[in-house]
Amino acid sequence: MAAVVTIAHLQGLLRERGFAHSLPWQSSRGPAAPTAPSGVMALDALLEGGFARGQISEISGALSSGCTGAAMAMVAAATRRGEATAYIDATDNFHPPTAQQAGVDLERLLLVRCQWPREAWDAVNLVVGAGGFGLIVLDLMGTRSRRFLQEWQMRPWLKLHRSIENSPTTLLVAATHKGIAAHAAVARVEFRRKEAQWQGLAGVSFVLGGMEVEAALAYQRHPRQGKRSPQREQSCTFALQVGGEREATG
Amino acid sequence: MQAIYACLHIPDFAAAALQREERRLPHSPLAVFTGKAPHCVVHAASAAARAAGIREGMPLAEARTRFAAGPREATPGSVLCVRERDQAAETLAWRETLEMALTVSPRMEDVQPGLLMADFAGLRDPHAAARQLANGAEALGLPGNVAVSLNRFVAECAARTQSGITHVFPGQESALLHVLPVEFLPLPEEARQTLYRWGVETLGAFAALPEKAVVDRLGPAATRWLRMAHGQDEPVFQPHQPAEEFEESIDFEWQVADLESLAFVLSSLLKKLCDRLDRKNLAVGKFLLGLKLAGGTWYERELLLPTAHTDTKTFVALARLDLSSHPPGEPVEGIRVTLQASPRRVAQFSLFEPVQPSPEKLDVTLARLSNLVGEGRAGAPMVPDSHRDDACLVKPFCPATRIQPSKPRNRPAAVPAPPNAVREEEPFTLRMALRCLRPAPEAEVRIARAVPVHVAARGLCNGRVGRYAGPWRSGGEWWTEEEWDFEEWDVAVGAQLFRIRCELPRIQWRIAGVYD
Repeated sequence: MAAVVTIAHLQGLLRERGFAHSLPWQSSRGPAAPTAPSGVMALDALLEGGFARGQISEISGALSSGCTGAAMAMVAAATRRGEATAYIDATDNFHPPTAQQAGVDLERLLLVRCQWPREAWDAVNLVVGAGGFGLIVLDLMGTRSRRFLQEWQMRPWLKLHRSIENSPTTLLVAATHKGIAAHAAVARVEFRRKEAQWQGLAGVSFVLGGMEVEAALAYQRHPRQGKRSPQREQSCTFALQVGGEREATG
Repeated sequence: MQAIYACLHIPDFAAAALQREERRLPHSPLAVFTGKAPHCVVHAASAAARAAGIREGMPLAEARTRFAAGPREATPGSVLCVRERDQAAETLAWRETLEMALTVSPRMEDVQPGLLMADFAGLRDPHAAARQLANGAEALGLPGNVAVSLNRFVAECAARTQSGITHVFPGQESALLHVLPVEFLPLPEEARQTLYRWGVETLGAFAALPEKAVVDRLGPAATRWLRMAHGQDEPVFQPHQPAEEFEESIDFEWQVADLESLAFVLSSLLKKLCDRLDRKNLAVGKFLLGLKLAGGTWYERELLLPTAHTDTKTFVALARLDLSSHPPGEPVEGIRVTLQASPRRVAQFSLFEPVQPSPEKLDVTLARLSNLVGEGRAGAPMVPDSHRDDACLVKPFCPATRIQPSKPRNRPAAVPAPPNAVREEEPFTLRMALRCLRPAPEAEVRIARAVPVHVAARGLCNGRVGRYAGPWRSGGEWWTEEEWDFEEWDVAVGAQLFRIRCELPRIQWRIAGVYD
């Protein structure tokens, strides 16, 4: 009994310090599903290791909430692990210099710049069909039309889920609206900007330094149990910095 | 069997190829230049021009001056001929030289234009073969030097330094090599500078150095250099193989207008070609498809493959996708398929690396994606050589062909990291991303005291500017009609952070992007 308590205590300590992904098993649920670390330590601790592989996960938040920054951190982490990644950009908003500054190995990233948002669904299906990708990000952040997003909710997400099931692929859907892939996603993280960090003296050398982001876990479902875990009030905060150096001219 | 190396060296090959083309040039000094005026430099010079002090890398103006001021006894009344480098003439001359050399010895290595190495092992009379090689080059209008030796490096050095036909017999290697400068060795610049500082100028002086001390100072490659200086190195001979054409064509008895029938015929042609390539352990690097149209013209398409393979089904799928997006427009009377051979993929997936997409599937997927979103919109992104925020380019995506840097041998092998581990070599800083708006929507910006105070853009924002930073001026392409000159600001409007820009000189405000 004492040993079990000690192990639980040690696991708790590891989770607290952001090393949840290093735990070989999750004692309360049996063997843990393989996960892909997000590259954000606090988020990994929140998700108990990262986003599940072979599953669809969702991240959402308004523009300037840090959602794209978090997605980019995840792409960077995946490319640093040597995985092939794909970024389906429904609204052609990808900015290569900031991706490179975030640590993305651009050689390992397949970018699909859709001319029209509706092309993104076919693109994601093609990329999933090719197989071998460690991470696929479907970026719908730029689409603001409610009708369009309602159409997307009606898409056959479960079919897409079955295509990546039992593969090492993590499909991450990023959108400004919640619940785009709600019936197929195993986890949803909602982002909110706490405050922007401005540095320097106003009017003299003022620059945007970054922002503090709060990520809240809306729900997480254990893939092997197929049942939603009770909703928990869990959140974490982390900071995103502006890449590149800018010098104010006054 | 002991190899007998014969080296044919054609001095100043670029000049010799031009002299061969223009029959009147051989009698006059010739300087071949590259570059555009006024930055032309001498690329090669004939022997007569060299006698007047003209050397490679010299500015052309200096070469003219030096020739005019130089000693004129040797070539009284001569004029320096100046010609631009003609790469087509060089290619043609070298191809003919290789064909000639193949008639002398079937084993021959194409080292570089102007230098080839033949293996005379097994020939009845190597001396007669050397004479035949020299005479053949002379007959082509490319007089060269031939040297024969049991050592390849010695043969090359002798051909570069001795005129006519030279035979270096066993035991004579050291005498030939020891007086030559160390520049004959394939030294990197750093090692060359080190030897210069040591005062080592000849191969003889270098060969006299103790091996252990040299290896300690110059690295493991010094062992080979020392062996070469001693005339003992035996590098791998890479025989030249003439390029083989992989082309199949068929003429129809009637006109074909539907893609299905074309694909059926194409499949059988590709199968034949791929089988031929398979037998030679080669793969397809480039795929050229020619369609003979009803009007008698040829409609040609070129398909570049990110990875070389010989999967017929993939090629047929790629051709179908390409023809469906670029239809020929007329009925087809014949097909011609040309495959450019390339070495097979040598990268092998590691047991400890993550799974990569299958190259064959990836080719088809990329073609389908290009069909879906348009050409040049699916691939690996590149950081553009521009300060414009909205610039974005992609290049072919082929993650599996990337070669990992090899680890130094003297270090212990690292324990492979678990698949989920993030490598920790570099600090991982979390960055804000800029979402570029393409095209940038117009905005109405109110200015007070030279700073933006209110920003309104349809569907994006409409409100007071909370905080701001800037301006940053950027501009570019002023040398073209696409000139741009921007003044950029970072502004907080409500809960959102925007990058706005003012396009000068029209004072047109736009939302360049959103920080997220």
